Amino acid sequence: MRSMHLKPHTREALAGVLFVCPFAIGAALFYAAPFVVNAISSVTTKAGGRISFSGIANYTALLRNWAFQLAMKNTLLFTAIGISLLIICGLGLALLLSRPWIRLRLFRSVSLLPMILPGASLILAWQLFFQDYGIINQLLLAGGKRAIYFFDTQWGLWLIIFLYVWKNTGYIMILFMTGLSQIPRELYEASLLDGAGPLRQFIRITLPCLRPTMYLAILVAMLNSQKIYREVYHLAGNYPFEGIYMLQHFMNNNFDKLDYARLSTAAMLYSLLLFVVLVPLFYMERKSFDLG
Amino acid sequence: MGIYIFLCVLAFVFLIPLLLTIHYSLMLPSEYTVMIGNNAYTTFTFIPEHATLVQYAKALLSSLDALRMFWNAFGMTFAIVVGQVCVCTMAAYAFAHLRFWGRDFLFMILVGLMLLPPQATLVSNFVVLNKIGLVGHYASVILPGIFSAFGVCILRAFMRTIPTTCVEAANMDGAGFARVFISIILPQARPGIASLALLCFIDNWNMVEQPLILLRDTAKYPLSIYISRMTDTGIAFAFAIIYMIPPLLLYLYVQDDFVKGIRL
Repeated sequence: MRSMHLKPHTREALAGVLFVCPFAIGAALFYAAPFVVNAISSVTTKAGGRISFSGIANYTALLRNWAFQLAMKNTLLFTAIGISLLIICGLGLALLLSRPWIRLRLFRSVSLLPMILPGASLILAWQLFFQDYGIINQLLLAGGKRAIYFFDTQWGLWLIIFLYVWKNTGYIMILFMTGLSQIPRELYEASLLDGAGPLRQFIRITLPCLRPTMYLAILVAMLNSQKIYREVYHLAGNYPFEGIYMLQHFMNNNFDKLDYARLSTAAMLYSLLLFVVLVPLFYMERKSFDLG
Repeated sequence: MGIYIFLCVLAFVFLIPLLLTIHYSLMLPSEYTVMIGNNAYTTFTFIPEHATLVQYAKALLSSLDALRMFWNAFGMTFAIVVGQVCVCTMAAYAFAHLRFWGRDFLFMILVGLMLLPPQATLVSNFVVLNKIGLVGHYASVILPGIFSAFGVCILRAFMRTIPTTCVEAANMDGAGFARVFISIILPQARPGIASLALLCFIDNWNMVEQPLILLRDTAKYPLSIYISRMTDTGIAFAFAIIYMIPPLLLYLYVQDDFVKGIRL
């Protein structure tokens, strides 16, 4: 057979398309196309078998649903507080450990363990700690304070935030450590010559140089914050207490009723919210992410 | 000096649940009066009276349900990881090194897919799988899991750091794209691939949302859902430890590459 006489860049383009094909087909089939279908069905209503465009009627109905309001409120509260705490802890630890130490490798492995060990396994131990007759309550009672009922009060949200921060601090810390190690030492030395103290060095050198890492950390933190549902499910099942009823619970419960309009509208609303927050992030840091 | 003490305390905080779980898995069920949910104070002893492996024996030899769920989890996760590595490395290579029409536009869509929350993608997946008729099979969990936009993004960032000089030299020696991919790109992208494999494994080893919605048969659930619902706490702790072993082994194997790969 004669070999194909194609121009080099055509061959490259063909190879590119071939290499991307498996992923593109799968992603289109399972994610992209259904997303478009979702979008369409969230702005249409099905009345008596006929589909008609109904604008934002579905959205307003959803926003008036008290379960959805509760779920969104909890999810947003958790996301805001959790991510802030996580970034602070991760950055703080990374700064603390930014000087060369021995034995750091062991601590690094230990700090990654919470992420490696499956949450399903550890949840038993957490229950031992936090349940009504658990270890923390015993300590509190022994110290003369009142017991905290983590699973029935607003403390539940703080429990979830603690679990989230505990789980992800190691990864975020290593992220920041990598970012910190890329800041050239000369900047600090030069600033010392000019009489800058540690706080000034932090604000003027460290933070600006860490901007790309910070955006990456926020992105990772956001992606992981959506997975906290797993811990909540392990602790409390399908109908948890009010304080920790999150968006995924809302969607799961609607799955059982197969209320598809509500589901797709909720999904679209949440996606739009995330896009509004994250897309500007990406756009601002597109150089460091090698986009464009 | 103070820093070391602080680090030790922190390490202890990170390790507490693991230590507790090991501790309780070595006890006879009659020795701890903790029944999760009952009105009994948990008695906490530092050293168990008898350290026995009774729990493990009972778990491994006589609880078929939970064991089958363990292998469910293993099978599904393994399939997803292998699939992701194959599909995402190819796509990442194309995005990183090959120029083809519409590449940048497709990449924008890729980033958008990556930012989609799992709550939204689950709804999408369910619709498609329902139409195809796969709901209730293992494939309904495995197939969507293989096409992860996040995987492509991190691998692409990795592959961009591979110098193109090697690729050009190979091209001059007559290597085609497939050859370049297999012999040059893949070995150099090993930290990235290890990183991806570990993250993917952990993510899917813990999966909860997808089986709940897509697999209606409780016999097909992975163990991650069942451990917290286990009524027989006599073996729950032992299973918790058993369930920890695969990700831990994988982590120990790819440790160095993984830490190298935590950057974009």
